Amino acid sequence: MDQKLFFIVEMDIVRAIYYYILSIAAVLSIFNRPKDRSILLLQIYIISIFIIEVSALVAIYLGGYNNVWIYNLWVIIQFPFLTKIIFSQFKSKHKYLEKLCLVVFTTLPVCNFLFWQGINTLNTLTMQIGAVYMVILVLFYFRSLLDTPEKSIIRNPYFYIGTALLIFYVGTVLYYTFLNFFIKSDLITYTQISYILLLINWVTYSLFILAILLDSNNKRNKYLLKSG
Amino acid sequence: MAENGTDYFFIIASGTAILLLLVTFIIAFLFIHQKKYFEHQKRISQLNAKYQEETMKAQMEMQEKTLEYVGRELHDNIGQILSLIKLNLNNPEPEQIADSKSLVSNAIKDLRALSHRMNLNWATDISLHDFIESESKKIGNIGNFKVVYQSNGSLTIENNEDKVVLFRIIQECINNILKHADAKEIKFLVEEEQHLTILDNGKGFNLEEVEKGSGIVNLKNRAHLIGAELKIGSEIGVGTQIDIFLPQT
Repeated sequence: MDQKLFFIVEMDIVRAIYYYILSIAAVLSIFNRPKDRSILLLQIYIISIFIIEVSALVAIYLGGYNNVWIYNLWVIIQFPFLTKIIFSQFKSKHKYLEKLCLVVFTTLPVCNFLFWQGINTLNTLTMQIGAVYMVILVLFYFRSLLDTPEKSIIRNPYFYIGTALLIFYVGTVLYYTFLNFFIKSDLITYTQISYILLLINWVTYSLFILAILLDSNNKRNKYLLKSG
Repeated sequence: MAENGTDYFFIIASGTAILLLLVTFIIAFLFIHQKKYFEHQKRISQLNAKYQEETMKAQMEMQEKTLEYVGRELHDNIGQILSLIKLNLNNPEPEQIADSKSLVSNAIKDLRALSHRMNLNWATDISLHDFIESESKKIGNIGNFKVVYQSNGSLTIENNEDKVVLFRIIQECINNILKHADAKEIKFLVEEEQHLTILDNGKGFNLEEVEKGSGIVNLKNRAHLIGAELKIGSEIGVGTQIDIFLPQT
């Protein structure tokens, strides 16, 4: 069943496709030069995920030492990153609310990491609360899009980023809500359920790729318009 | 085991249902937003068409007024000068010839001024202050009114077409005062940036009645088209005040 699909690491095809999609997103993020600071943040976000995932693969390849702390560190920084990206798109800037969200979603994960769930246990509490927060934030962003019908969202990269985050975090909320139940079931069922999360990752990173391509295309169109 | 299987089925089914709902929500959102987008685009193109139409109309009116003015000037001023020159040349004494020369110079000067007025791009060269000043002089020359123009702020409009529309609005206000107000004094005041007030001490009118007519609606619509706001206040026996707030630059 397992095949050598992602370079030298053996894995099944669903997981391998996830890594290929993530690699494409990372390569695009390295080469795309965005003018928009929020797209740059997204690209740094994608590159960071790629590095973390590759480091996890290396850890597995080297004999499976515990790399949960890397994910936990990532969980701490991902919400402030995404908060900055989404808040940049609100027409009326809510500076105070943005600062409050940044403080809350930096302090809580750090406390959980240091005092509650700890460094070597997956910080599911942070993930669950953060995921609910992200879903609410994206829904507010979508609401604000309805107030700005001047631009078509078909060509708006942030619509795809919002959609990706909504799908990813709704999936995350569901997954972590039923995680304990899945763990109690047999290993095959648990692995199959985990595939759903991988499929959600496929969609998420594909939408991120689409957003970066759209941003690059919009930039080129603007340049062509300027140069006449 | 059976219970576990049922739970498992319930979780998978509810998870799938939630994800399907999510996808439906996103597609529905996309449709709603696109519908709003197309409606907005339609509204913008309608506004643009109306703006073009109003600009054209204002330009035509300006052109007509210019031609009217030119015709009057030719008849009353240059025609008179030429008649005088003809009279002088009937008896070509050195004094008359010198007089005729001076009259010819005046006629040339007046013709130049006229040609300047006929130039359709004159709006580009004239500032709003100069325009109001020249309009107040024109009213002053009629002789029946005391005209005051005070300016403590600036009035700026970048777009030339918008400027023509504003000229037309000001002329329309003046016309209304001359035709209907029965005023003795007309004031043009620029007391703050981008704010012009036109005041008269005429008979005033009932705002509610007049507002129903197309004249004021037209004025307000034109102001709206160039991003300005026009407010009218009037009191019977006291006079009328028109405030034009231009967009901030």
